[in-house]
Amino acid sequence: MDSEIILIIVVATALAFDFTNGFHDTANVVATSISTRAMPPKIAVGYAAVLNFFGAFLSLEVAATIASGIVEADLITPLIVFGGLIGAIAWNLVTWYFGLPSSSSHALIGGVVGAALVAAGPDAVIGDGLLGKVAVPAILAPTLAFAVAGLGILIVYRMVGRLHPGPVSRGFRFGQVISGGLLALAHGTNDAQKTMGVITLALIANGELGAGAEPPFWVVVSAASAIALGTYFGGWRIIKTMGSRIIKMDPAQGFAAQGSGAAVILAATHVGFPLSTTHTISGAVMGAGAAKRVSAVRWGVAGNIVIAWILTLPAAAGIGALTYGVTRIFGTGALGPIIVSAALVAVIVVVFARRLQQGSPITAAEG
Amino acid sequence: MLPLAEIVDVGDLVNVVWTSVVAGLGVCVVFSLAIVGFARATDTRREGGGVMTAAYVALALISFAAVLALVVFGVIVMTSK
Repeated sequence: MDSEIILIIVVATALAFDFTNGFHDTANVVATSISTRAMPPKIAVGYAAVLNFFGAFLSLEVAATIASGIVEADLITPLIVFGGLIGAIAWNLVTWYFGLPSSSSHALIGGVVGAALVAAGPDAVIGDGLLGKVAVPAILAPTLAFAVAGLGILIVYRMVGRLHPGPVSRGFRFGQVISGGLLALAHGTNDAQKTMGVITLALIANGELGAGAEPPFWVVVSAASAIALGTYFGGWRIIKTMGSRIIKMDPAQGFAAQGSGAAVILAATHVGFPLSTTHTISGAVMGAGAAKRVSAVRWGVAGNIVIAWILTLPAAAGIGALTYGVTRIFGTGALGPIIVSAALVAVIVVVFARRLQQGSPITAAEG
Repeated sequence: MLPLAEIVDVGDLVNVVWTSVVAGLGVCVVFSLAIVGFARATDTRREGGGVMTAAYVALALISFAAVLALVVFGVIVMTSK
């Protein structure tokens, strides 16, 4: 009975993480389009939500499940996964509150690493995997995207600089609709799969599915729905940061950032070296701004974002470890996850109630 | 400190860099060519340049077709990873 309750809690927590992943990462897809008025805010998030939903059905390659190659797979239990998910959700909410784009995938990996460390000691974590699959891509993605988008915008300005600005702006706005759509599909495919992987893993661990089973249809639909719903709600604070607080961009810069960012993400995926959407698009936005004029980038905001990236893994790991520790105080049964989940829901309700009382300073209308 | 080669496949890393540069700059160039084609075609049509207009329209259409081909390739990459 306890294991079934834990399974239900893990599934619900995974879907809650999927929802925060959606609203946290909406900015990657829509921020530049909203900022350059390629699309009205509500239309942009609706468009991204629909494509995120369909993206989740494009590929079901969940064999490389959560934290694979980073944490010893044999040691992962539902309670470790639960701790990891809570760590990731909490860090996503903290970075959303401060309007900072950070990687939801790194938060999830961090959470699981922290919980696994407490549960099984240092041997549970594969150091080389952590460096090779998290640290190196975290440096490579923004650097590469910065350079490619910077070179891209210089070429774009050289090619269209003597044309009438009206048709050029309209053209690049249209280009942003295409590149944003591609990014939304890619995001749905990549990120909804993580949730499908977590739920499938929990179902296998609980004996509901055989080893190596494909995710059931209800898992695919619920993961796709959760990420799409989260995307539609939109993390407006992060959209504001990404769309106008790093640089004030024109449509050509918006297209260079989004188009070259999408190209970098898909090229890296093609080579088998997946990069974080958030790191790539943030780097591309900074590159498209800096290439026009270095002082056009608000480096203070950019610095805060980089600090958030550096803190993501240890912070989510700390929360994951704490969650696992608190959960184990109540034994290995369902009581621990129930108490932790109830406490988290209470904290979220209080924070949102306070935000509603204060009035939200950032809304869709402001775009 | 572990050498980079022991942490990641350097060959993969080099491939990621060059394919990203080619793909990213390729997208920017091809889409800009489509815009140049459409914008110049509009200008030359106003000035009555029939052959030039046709050439610019052809440039725009070919470039736009290349953009669509890149989008389709992107979706194929997503589905086949």
